[in-house]
Amino acid sequence: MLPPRPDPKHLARLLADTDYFRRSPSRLGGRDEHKEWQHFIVHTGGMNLLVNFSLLDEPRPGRAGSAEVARLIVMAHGEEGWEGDVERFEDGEVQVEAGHLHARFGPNTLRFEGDRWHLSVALRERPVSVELELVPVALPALSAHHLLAPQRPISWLFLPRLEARGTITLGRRTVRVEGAPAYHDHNWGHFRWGDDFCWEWGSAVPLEAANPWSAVLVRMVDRGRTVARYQALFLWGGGESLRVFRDEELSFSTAGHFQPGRAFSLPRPLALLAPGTAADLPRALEVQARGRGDELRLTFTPRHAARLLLPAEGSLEQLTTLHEVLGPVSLRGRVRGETVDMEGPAVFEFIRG
Amino acid sequence: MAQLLAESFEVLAREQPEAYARMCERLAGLSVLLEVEAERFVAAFSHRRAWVAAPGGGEAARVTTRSRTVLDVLDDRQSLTEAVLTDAVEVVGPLDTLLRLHAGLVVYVQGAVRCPGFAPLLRRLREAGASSP
Repeated sequence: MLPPRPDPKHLARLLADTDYFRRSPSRLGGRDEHKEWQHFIVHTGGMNLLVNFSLLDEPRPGRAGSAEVARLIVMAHGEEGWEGDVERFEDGEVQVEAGHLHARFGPNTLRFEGDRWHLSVALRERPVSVELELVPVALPALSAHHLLAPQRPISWLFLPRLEARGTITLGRRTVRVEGAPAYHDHNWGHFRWGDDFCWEWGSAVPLEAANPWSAVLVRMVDRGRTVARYQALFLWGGGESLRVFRDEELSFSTAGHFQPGRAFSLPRPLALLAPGTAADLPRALEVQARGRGDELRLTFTPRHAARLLLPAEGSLEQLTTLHEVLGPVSLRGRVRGETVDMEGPAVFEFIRG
Repeated sequence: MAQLLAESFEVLAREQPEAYARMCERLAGLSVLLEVEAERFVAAFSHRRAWVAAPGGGEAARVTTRSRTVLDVLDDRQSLTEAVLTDAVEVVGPLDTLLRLHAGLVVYVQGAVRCPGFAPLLRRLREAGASSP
């Protein structure tokens, strides 16, 4: 018997206590190179949406030290392919209070009220706008201070499953969303793009609301991808975590090479520095999880990919590429006496470069 | 276009001096004739600075294009390679000079994406591009 959805009031209190913006300690004279973002993914039948409110410490031109820079990243994939943008906001346009869950970047807002997120986003120059309520329907997972690389910690909170209601406008098409599966995570830490790390991070949800399963896969490796520093497959059944497979309980295998064709890249001008179509992505990813009598097999098949191009912070010559890859996941196995059987949409991030 | 390029050198020097210095180092001694629709001007480089001037003859290379193409490349509707192969960008000069120009362009773009001051320049370029034929 799987646990039911958690009590919304309890969940709201839990999120208020854990999912708040941290903000950079550099604002108070502390350590810089801080990064933090609140990330949402929504899947509808024919559309996938990624929205990211990010605050990153960056050097101040001509001045000592660094300052947080606010950016909104939106990527949407629909019938006509990818659309989206990265927008930067000046200090006066940004309202984010440490200890709270709300953010305003220009006219774009992220609010947590009652038991749900309210997301209101409209890109300045591209035809994407979003008015959504996102209701968490599962308990979050919180993980603090993992080392991406020596001295480079990252923390995260994720909600493996939410339900989205509202509208998404992509191009000339507005889609009414009612109970669409969604995912949320919040990352923060001190690290630099270009440090000695890569990650593979995926979330998978079922399109059918009645299917109780959802999963998150996290794998952190060195930049050469020869050493796995941390890996875990989180399985949620109903509203709670049923099992976390870790480290040696997991084996990864990849097959072939996924070639997405001409890549959709953000920010667009950076595509000048990443010409060609080489992507270094697998055509299929399979993860076998086994331990303590439990067994689970996850397969991910990439269908569409977009690139977020990030200037390396320690070098004027390098880029880090974060591939956002869409595709179906299947999840099958037997865990804690329960038969796991799920197929649904997924987004996997692959850092390369 | 000449005015925007001149201002972009100033922004790069102010906001990303390391990228500016590296670009100048790679392109030192070169001058390039740029033809963008009716505009003809020269981008010139020494070890310490980059500037825009009127054509004087003797430029090491020539680049001919349209402002619409510049925007297409910056907005990733067309790659630089595609633009060159379709003659939307015409580049003429000795191969070693063109390779140096490309190396300088890479550092210029790497610096530009790190400069907050490039966003308003890009907006002005879009406005100018929207009104060009």
